[in-house]
Amino acid sequence: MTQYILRRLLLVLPLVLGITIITFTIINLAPGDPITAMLDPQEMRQLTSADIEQRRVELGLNQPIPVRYLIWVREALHGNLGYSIQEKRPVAEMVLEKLPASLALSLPSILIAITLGVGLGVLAALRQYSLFDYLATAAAFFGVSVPGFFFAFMGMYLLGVKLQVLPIFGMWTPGQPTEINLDLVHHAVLPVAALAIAHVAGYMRYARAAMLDSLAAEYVVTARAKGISEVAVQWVHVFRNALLPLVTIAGLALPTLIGGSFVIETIFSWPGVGLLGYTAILQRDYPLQMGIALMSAVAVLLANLVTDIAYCFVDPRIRYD
Amino acid sequence: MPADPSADGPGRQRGRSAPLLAVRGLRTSFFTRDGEVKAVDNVDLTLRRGQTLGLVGESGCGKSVTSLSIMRLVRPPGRIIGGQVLFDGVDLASVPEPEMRKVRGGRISMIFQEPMTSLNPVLTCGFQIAEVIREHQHLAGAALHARVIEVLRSVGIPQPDRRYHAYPHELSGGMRQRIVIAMAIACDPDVLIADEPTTALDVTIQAQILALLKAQRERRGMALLLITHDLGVIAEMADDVAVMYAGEIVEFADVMTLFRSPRHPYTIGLLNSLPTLTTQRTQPLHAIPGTVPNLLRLPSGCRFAPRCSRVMAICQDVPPVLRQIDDGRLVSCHLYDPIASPVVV
Amino acid sequence: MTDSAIAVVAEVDALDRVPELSPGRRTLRRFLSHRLAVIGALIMAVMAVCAILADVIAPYDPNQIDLLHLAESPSAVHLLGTDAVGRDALSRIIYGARISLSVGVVAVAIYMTIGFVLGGLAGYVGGWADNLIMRFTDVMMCFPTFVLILILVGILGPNLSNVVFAIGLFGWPGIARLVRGQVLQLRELDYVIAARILGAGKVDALVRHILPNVIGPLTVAATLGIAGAILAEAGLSFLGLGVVQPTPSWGSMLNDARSPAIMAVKPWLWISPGISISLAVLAINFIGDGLRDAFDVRSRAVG
Repeated sequence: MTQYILRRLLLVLPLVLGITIITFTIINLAPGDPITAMLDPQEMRQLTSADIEQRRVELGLNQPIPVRYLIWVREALHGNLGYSIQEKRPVAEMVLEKLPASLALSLPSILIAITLGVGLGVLAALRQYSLFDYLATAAAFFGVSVPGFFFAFMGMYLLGVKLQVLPIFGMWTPGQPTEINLDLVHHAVLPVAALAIAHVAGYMRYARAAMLDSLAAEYVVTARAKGISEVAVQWVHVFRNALLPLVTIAGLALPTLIGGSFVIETIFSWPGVGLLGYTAILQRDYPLQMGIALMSAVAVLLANLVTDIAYCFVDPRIRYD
Repeated sequence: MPADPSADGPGRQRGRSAPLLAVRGLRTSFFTRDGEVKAVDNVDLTLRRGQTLGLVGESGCGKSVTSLSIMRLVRPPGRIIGGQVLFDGVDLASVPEPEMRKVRGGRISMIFQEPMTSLNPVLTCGFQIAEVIREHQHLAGAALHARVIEVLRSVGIPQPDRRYHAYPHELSGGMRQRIVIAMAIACDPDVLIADEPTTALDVTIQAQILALLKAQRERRGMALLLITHDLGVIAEMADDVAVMYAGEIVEFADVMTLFRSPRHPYTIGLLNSLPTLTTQRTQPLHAIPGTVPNLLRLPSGCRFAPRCSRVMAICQDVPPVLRQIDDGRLVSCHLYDPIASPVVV
Repeated sequence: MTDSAIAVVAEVDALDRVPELSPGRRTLRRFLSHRLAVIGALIMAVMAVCAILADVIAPYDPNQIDLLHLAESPSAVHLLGTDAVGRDALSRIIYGARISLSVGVVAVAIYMTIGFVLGGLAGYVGGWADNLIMRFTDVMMCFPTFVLILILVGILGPNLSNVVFAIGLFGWPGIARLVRGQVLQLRELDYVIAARILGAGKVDALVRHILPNVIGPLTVAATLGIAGAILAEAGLSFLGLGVVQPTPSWGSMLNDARSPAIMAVKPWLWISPGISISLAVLAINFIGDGLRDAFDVRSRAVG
């Protein structure tokens, strides 16, 4: 098993390399003078144009692309992902600042998606062809078809404006303490719901399909032929096998979650990384955009790594490869 | 190559012992979108202590569904719609489910064709055997572990302590089938149903598994219902044989009589299609012309009539009935019906 | 045979009662027996008609300003109401279908081609090509697709062709993997090897044996891909980075209604585009489900 984990870890390196190459390529496609992105703006104001030329040489901006790439990677490894054009602050700093707000939305979303989605899917499969199954499947169809921002609109309209039970703007009510409290939870309900619904529906369909596949397997007949209780059959045999494909797709939600956050955070004026990215795009703040893209890709990579390693714990067949 | 059934091997009993399980008039159908599939239509079988009943037929003839019906493992849209399964004074077809669960695995066990798919890939072999022992014999802890090791040893698995923690994919096909058999005999059942137990195995392993089944049958005095399409296995293992076609039993006899003088045209066709030691390489193989009927649209009259070389006019209209023609022989064919066919062929 | 297998055999036998049907016709029959899929197909047909014949069907020019009916709720004159500038909502919805469907179809066509070529190459040629292409695919799959699309459109500027280009440029990794997987599987199948032994050339084997089997999963993927592309375009337009005014798009109609004033007071302005998007995607998902069952011969056909 350690061999498998080690090999999987080794795979991370070329992928990180690839991510950096892609990011670097897109940065250089974007218009704008790279020097403004790489120098601390405070410094820049005090420099003469001769100094700027010299810095340009130092930073290797006149070098061929491969060298510039290596310099960029070196900088990135030190945490320097460039400086935001609009706010003149380090990109990494800005992103990390907004990260907790985004996590406040995405972590509950993933948890809800997995528990509710898998739970409903498993139950629907065990009660195939029942009313519950049809309703759940119908709900799942709607969940994946209705765009998150439409759900947001409906939620805002019904619960925010008409019934006035939930707030629709920002993270806290103005004047309230900005810490983890009930006010925050109150504000988070609608955005989390809008983000999570599509994923609940998606996981529900996957879980149902995985359970149905497992239920149709020969070893289930064998298990029943041994006279063990139906409950034991369902959990010890069926669910345990259905878990395999579910672990594989567990990490699948992250990329769409990140993309979705751009839209949902904008709607609710939730000051997270998504809103930061959106404004960065509107303001042509390329270093910030690429910093966010890079960090998102690395996050997805790590999530996939975790699920792959988790998979080898769940499936004994690949442990001794 | 079928073994010569006239050779009297050890353990091959003459005469029939007391019935252990009796299937009477079993009917099982599948209610699909396109109609009723009569998979098992009025089947009678008798399993006797220490003896093997072979159930022969092509794929799709209903032999597997028969065995699943005995175990009450038929799932919707399939359903037992008639008949009885008499076991130890009770009709298994109508007992409540908790009662049936006590019987499954404890008193009647079943083994299946493909050991790789009939074992759960994510659980250890030891766990899967322990499961059935725990359920029926209520052992736990060290006693349970010891019993599992004992069972593993009795089916001929070397180093049972290590194999306990092995997963199915780590074992060879033959070993896996031994594990499956171990699960089935762990609680000393009265009846063992083996559905194509050797079809998925290499020929050499087949012999080992058959020998194992024979040994277990002797040792425990079980009744064995052996389901297969392989006549060689039947010749080797069975005391009595029932031939099934399109959901019905068409012939029943003891194994020697069946091989020596088959009566039903289908049985004759099956036996003829086997090449023998004397078959020349240039001789064409006999195959029964035609295909198995669509169970949704069965022909009126005899179900084998469209393919029968001895078909008569009456066969198309009137379905034949299984009737006794000799001592202990049953055939379902108009050729042997004294009224339809007065001249005995 | 397991009991479910028996039911499948019976069902398949029933459907194959007329054995002369070609595989294509049989797939079609299976698809048509799927109620939801047929409903989805009908809805899509209606939307396609709207898209193609928008000029004929729409009651008004979508950009025509009617100063007499500013931001009116649905009435006899304007069936779905008017927006803040006085444009007829129904006409904008109908023309919006044109944008959504064309973006969906064209973008998917682009990335299906890219994905098919890359995946097919990787699977068929193998070796270093396979390695290189697959590592590239793995890297691309790490980036959230929507973010990449947003950034690219941000760089190139929002308009219809850039939207189509961006969606088409980043949608291929899933398809590449799918095609490669299929090619790898099928390459090793006995009948393909047999065909090669019998003298079929590499290309011949690819086209005549592998292609027909890949069509199934690819069609399903393409169909679901169109749904995804429609959602992507809607999202982009909603953020103001898609199709720009005055071109009517369902996403931008939602954007117009985003301000609290309009959202609360004139809900009809966002309900109709929202429902349109949802209906289109739902219909496509139904169709995709039906296609998936139709192509899968081994599906649980038990009704």
